Amino acid sequence: MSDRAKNFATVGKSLRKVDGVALVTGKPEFVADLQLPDTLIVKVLGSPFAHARIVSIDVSAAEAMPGVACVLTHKNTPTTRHTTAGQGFPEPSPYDTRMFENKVRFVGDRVAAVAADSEEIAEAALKAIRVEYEELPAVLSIDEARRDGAPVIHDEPDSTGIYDVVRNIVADVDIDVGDVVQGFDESDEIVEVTCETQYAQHTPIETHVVLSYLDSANRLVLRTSTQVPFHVRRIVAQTLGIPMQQIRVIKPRIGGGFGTKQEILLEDVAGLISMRTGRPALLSLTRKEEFASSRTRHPMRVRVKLGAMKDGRLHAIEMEATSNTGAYGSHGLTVLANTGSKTLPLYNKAPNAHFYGQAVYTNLPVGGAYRGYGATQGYFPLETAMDEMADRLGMDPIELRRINHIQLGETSPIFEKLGEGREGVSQTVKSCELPRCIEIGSERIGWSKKRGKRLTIGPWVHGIGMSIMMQGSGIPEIDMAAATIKMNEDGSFNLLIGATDLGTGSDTILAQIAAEVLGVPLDKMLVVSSDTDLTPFDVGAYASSTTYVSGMAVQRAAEKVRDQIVRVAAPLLDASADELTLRDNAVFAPAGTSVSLARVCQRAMYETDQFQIGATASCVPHESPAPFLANFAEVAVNRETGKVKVVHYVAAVDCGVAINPQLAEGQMEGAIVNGIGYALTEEMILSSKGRVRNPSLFDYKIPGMLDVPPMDIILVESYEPTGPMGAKSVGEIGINGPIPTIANAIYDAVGIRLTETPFTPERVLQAMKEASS
Amino acid sequence: MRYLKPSSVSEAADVLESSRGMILAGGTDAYVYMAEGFCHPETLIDISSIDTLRGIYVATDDREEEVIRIGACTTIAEIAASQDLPTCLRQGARAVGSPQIRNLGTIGGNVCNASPCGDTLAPLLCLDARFVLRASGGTRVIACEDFFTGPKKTVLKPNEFLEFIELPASSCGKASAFRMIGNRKGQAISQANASVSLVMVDGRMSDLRVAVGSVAPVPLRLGKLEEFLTGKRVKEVSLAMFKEPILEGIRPIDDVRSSASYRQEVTVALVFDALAECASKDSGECEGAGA
Ligand SMILES: Cc1cc2nc3c(=O)[nH]c(=O)nc-3n(C[C@H](O)[C@H](O)[C@H](O)COP(=O)(O)OP(=O)(O)OC[C@H]3O[C@@H](n4cnc5c(N)ncnc54)[C@H](O)[C@@H]3O)c2cc1C
Repeated sequence: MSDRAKNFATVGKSLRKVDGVALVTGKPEFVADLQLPDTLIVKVLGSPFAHARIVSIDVSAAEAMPGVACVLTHKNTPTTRHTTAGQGFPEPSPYDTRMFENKVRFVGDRVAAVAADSEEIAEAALKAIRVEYEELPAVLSIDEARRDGAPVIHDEPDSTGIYDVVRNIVADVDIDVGDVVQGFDESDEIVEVTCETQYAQHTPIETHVVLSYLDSANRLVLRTSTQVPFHVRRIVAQTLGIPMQQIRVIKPRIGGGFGTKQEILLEDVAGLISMRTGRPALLSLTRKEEFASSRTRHPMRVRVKLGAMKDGRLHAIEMEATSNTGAYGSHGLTVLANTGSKTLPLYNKAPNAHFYGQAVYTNLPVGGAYRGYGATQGYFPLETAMDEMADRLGMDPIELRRINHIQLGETSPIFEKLGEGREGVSQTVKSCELPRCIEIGSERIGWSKKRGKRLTIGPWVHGIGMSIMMQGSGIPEIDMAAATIKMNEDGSFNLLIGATDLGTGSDTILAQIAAEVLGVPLDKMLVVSSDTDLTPFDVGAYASSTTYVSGMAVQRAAEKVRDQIVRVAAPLLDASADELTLRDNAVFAPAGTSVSLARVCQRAMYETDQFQIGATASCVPHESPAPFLANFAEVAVNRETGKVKVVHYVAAVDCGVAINPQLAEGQMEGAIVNGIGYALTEEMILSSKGRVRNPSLFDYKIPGMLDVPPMDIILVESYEPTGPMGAKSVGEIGINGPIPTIANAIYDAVGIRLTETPFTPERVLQAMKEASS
Repeated sequence: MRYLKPSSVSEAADVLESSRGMILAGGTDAYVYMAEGFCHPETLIDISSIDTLRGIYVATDDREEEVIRIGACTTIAEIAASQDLPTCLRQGARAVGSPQIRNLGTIGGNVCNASPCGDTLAPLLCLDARFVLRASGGTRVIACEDFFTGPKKTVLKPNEFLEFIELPASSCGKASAFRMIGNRKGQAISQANASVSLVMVDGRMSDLRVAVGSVAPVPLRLGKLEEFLTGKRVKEVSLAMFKEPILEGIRPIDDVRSSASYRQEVTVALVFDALAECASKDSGECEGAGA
């Protein structure tokens, strides 16, 4: 633990989650747990075709069915172009989406919605809708998308923000540092690797769900499972063309997001139904609909070329990424940009670097935000190429990384050149324990004992691999979070935050930060979060921002409140305000005399110069300090079946001060298991017509408990001077590790380089066969 | 929909005869089919609480031979835990679903569901199992080999249900093993599976049965391979040698779980692996009944 972190009373402790007891005792906390009388059930009709024009649509039979309250199609809904991506305004994603349209662009694209008294009636009504489609030629791969004469997916005139409509290119990024061509010429050794990643989904246990209703003042309330309540309010107002003040968004507890709920997918439909009918409306996706029509991780092809000198110093790095955003450009530009911006600064010693790439439309499922946000796709080839480079140079892969990775006090030109789809923000590294992460992790896995030994037990051959990485903490100069704290006369506090707890534990850690500043135990902090009527603004939970950005807003608000408290307490203690300290529910003077917080607040409320002790503060970060991670894995590869087992996984992470170590470990564990699924089993399999063939958790395999290997999560603490209580972030970084780490371990075991995920037994066996022939 | 819960086998046979309803055992397949709308039975006949359909014991069959009898409604969990059954069948049962599924699902359901990837089918086939089918008029016995006619298809007539599964008493004296590959541990459907039973006589393989699942419309015995291996020592054979007899026998398909060519290849590896396990023991290992 860093010295500065040692003196904390509440921060740095693994306290229980503030919402934990309610959740484990089954309290009705989730969106669909709220049952309102006369609630309509909404069902959505999805397109059966990857690309088609709707020639005609006849809903008269559906509308005539008893129990059907409302049918929506492109004929009776607003036509505003918008993006479903819940990002800061103006969004860097193209406005290429309408609520409903006379054209469908992927299998599952929205054609109509029915609201009825029951699910059975709604489903029967969907079947009664007659749609005549004119099927159009479809674009089913990134290669087809940019071909001359390829079908144009967004040929409508009113979409904006698309880089090249005719060639189906959503976004284009190209940045240079130095001169890579010359850099490669001067290099002693060159390695080039191209990797492809698959369509994968977030699979939160709770699918997308929204309950909408009108309150007594006829305002629209959206109780929704979202990561971005304030963006929901803004984008629904924009889409429906109603004043924002007519909308209130409430996020109750939610059953996971992982990025897929940084998207406004259902709220406009349910909201419009409530406005039209005056009745509550519940729209909840089935797992099948979730797979077909929600969001995915952008599949990518990423090529990395490294040039190094004989002594291992990297001299040039080039990364070229092609991203498949599917039918709509949600997060297309920014995920692409992050593929470079979150990876290349790691190897800042290379004087020459080049990142370029494009995000293209296809008539396939739509990409979106997904934990890791492009970095996951970039680290696969980057860390594979580093491993290969070490091999070529005859160096230990750890040593090659040690001499090339970014260090404390250093910077990278990439920080400034490449940001959130535009220029970034220059910054130097102010906290970095990556060297210790590498050291501790390599000892724990037994690197020097096991590497290259190929321990063989029957058909199983063991191998060891590693990788390192960094991420960011929020989006500098763009993200904004605010917090309000007000004091009650019993010495408790209301903490009102726009920040969005997805199950991550942010309500808990933000309360810990406030409690630390105000010298009270956690149970004196009463948290209300994510209600656009009650809580101040926050962009929401994405980009690993909550601890760093929202946490800083909370710390500042708490400090303002502390200043008010000591001003009130000073006359009571006969001391000057600036020498007072807060701890144990009281204010202490240097002499040891004290007055309780309750007493202080009573004075402020009832006695003299009365006022409400309370404050609001905001944070806009000026940089995005990186958490760092060293991953190590031992795997066993079955030479006969191609099956890969992860035997042991070690992750040593520097996330700054861990506000709640157990929750930080939980984030890492979850991210690694998520990443192991992405590396080994998870894949949305598409038919030749673009339909998802395995839209169920039965056929889309996320890891089960039995698949979780023994994991060592080691928090290697640093103190980030710009963060709240020294914290950075830990939400995303872990998911980037498993693919390259497992790939490198497989190479150590059986000498094959896998470049396509997931590493199914079939692919592994095939690669072994090719290598031996 | 009507739901009937007969309390005896004869009552079950009678209501099946008159209603031509659908038999319900653990419901782990049946309820899924109904929920997905694959079938809409008018009558459900729940046989899961008929006592005589549950249990594993020694009996005498219609040929006056001693057999191990397994009631159709014996749960997969009970099969997996039984000390009285051959290894391969217990291993196959252990590969089914999750603890919840194994506690509800029955071996009769696994058999009658007749999915090509059912995990107890290849074990039953390599143990020369026979099935006792019941109708209101009486019973008939059919060999496991003749029971399956296609994916989800069997010789069961609409008025018949499976009452017992019988294994030769000698099957407990055999060494046996089951192997499967799925895309994760637990709750994973076999991409391919294999089951082997044999007796080692003076270090040579005899009374050999090799059966495979998930690689053809029905579980298959690999007669050619059995012939090729019989009388050989395990050390004499290598994986490469028996590739051909296996590939000749099987007809796998491409689907979302696996490609046909991978299924072919991995089947060879699974059979080899199962064989190696059998050879490492010289006798069966079940205690109690029939051993
Ligand atoms: C999540 C999940 C995972 C699964 N994983 C596996 C797996 O890994 N491996 C595997 O092999 N299976 C698996 N299954 C399938 C299923 O659990 C098994 O096939 C189980 O053995 C079925 O038994 P049951 O008693 O539940 O059958 P039921 O669902 O009750 O019946 C299945 C079918 O057989 C018929 N039937 C049942 N008993 C009889 C009888 N005595 N006579 C005549 N007809 C009868 C029924 O009419 C029905 O058509 C899984 C199922 C689920 C839901």
